[in-house]
Amino acid sequence: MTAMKKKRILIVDDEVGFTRLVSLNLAYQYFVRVENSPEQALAAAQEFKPDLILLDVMMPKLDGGELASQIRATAELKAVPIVFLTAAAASREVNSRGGQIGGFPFLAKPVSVADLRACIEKHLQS
Amino acid sequence: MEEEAIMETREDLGLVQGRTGFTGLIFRLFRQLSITRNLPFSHARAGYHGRVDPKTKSWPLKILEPFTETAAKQRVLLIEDSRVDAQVIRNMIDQAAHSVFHLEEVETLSGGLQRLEHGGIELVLLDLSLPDSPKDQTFTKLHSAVSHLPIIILSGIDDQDFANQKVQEGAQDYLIKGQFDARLLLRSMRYAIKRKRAEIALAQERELLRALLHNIPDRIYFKDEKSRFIRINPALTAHFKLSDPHAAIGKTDFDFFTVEHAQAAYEDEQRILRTGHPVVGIIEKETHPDGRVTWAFTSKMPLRNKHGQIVGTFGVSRDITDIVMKEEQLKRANAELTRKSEEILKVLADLKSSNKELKNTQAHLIQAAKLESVGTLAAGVAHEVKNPLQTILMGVDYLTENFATGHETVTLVLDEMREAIKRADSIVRGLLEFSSVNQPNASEEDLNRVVEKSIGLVHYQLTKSRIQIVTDLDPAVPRLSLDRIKMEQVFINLFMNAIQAMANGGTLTVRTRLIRFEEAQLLTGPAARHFKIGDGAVLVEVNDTGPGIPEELLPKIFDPFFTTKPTGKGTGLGLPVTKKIIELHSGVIDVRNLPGSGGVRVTILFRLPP
Repeated sequence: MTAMKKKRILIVDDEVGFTRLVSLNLAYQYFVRVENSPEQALAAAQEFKPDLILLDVMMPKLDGGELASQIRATAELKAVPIVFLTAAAASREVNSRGGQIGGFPFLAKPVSVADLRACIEKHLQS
Repeated sequence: MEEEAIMETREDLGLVQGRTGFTGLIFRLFRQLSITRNLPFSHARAGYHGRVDPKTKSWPLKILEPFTETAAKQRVLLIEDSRVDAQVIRNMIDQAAHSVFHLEEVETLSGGLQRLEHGGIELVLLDLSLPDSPKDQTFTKLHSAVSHLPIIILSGIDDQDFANQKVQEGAQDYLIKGQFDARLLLRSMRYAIKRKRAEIALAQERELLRALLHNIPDRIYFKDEKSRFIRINPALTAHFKLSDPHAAIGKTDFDFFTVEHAQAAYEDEQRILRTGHPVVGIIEKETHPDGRVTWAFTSKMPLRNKHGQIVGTFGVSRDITDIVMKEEQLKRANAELTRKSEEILKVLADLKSSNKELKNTQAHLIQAAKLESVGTLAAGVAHEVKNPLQTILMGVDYLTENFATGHETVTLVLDEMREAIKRADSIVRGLLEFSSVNQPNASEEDLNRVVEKSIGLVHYQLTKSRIQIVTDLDPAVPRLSLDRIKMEQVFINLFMNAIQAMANGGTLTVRTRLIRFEEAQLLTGPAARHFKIGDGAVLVEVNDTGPGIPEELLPKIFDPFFTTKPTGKGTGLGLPVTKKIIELHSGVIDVRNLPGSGGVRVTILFRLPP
């Protein structure tokens, strides 16, 4: 029996406490890498080669939208699913926007571990 | 007949004295002339004194002394050098029954003049052949000294021509000695006195008329039946630019004015001649051949002879050219003033309108700035609060998954913490929603459809709380410009409030209506400020059968964060958000308790599209 290879999740968020705890929660199921400096996130992604990227929207120096554009413009990363995490949106807004920000799916903080996993699974399979 | 005439003259003068209108004065004076013109008279000294009374505008006439024959006897002076003749005269006078004369006698002209200087004599009987005066000069000398007294010549000269000459010179009568008896003498004496008085009165009238015609600045004219001038006064003479009033006699208005004015005046006068109706106080435009235009305030009267027959016209015109010109200037100035005033009013209205727009814009800007700052604040708060909440939630979930199993108390603690996170999150989300409601994303929507969809979204809660739903949606309600998602949020908020108020079941009634405010009593509450009689509106009513809202809390229900729900059940932002969304749609919302049965009625009114 061959163990299923863990999927690689890159989490880009400047909230150190959050990234530490989300890593703890996801580590059993996924191979998680955290990047707290958005300006280093592209390089990290190129090196880490994630299967999915969780991207905070509001970050200092480089916001999630800009970073998503750079990722999409990078050949080896352009097919990687990106899910935004935002602390600035109400869940109703998520619904009214069809769950999308700039064409990317997003989750409104605070999100439970269960919902986060469900979302990750959904987009890993798509 | 003569006596009657004199009496009438006196009465008329008495009347004239009290009148103020100069037209009436002329009329009456002319009547005097008509009546008395056949009387013999000679010039007498002026009988009036003084000037026009500025208060009464009337002439201070000095009328004849009271005329009474029954008073003291009238003194008669006989100037006769013949004692025989004097005796005869005396006998005639004394023997007459009821004689009213007292005779005094002198024998010379100088004696007579001397006596007359003392006054009191009312008639002189004069013999021409006196020792101190040649007979052809006697009358002249006496008459020139006392022209105001009637003189009867008693002469032995039986010469008709001589007699006529003396009468023409002013003698009242010429009686030939030996050819008259007492009756003739006394009648002649009576008539002489009366006639002389009439002459003086007439002279006074003439003088008054002359003074009037010569001094009044108004233009006065008399015309015959063919509208030819028979007399004009100096004012009209000057107006016609003539040097002599007589130059106008026989001429007509056609000689002085253009045909336009002359014809109109001629027609006026001919009508007066036909009908006898005067033309009083008309304003005439006078056009002159040299192009001048003058204006006159004119009255025209029928001119009647002593038999009352109309023989011409007369009139008075006052030159009001200056007044008319000033009036024209005033009218132009007034028109200009009105125009400017209208301009000012228009500018003022524009300014008011601009000011109102500015205020509205300012209010919107302030509101937008407020919203923007609230929005910015809310977003900032959301970011700063939600991130820690997220971290805490991650931690709670981690602890739940890894350490709670089998530890009931730990599970309980972690569940409480999770609930607290949700509560904090819902507050932040409400704040975000409240601050993000500023611009509706509107399109033409079927309001009834939006209501039905919103009911569908709370169907589970309705069923769960055993609440019966009654809908009464008016198909006449037109499509409205609405932000569908925000309006759904409004109805869901209202329905959820109603559901929570009817935890033990009840009835939720939703009604829509197309209405028109036909009566003032319909315009109550917020509607009174937003609508007026005749306005159309779409009404939505949401009624519940819950316990209602305490009256003292009603004014606060739209305040942010005000809630009557238990802690953790309400954010206090539902109704403020609802009100904001309604107002964004230019609608009004009113919440009140239903009378009697309890429950709450929420009324929403949308203005009909124009």
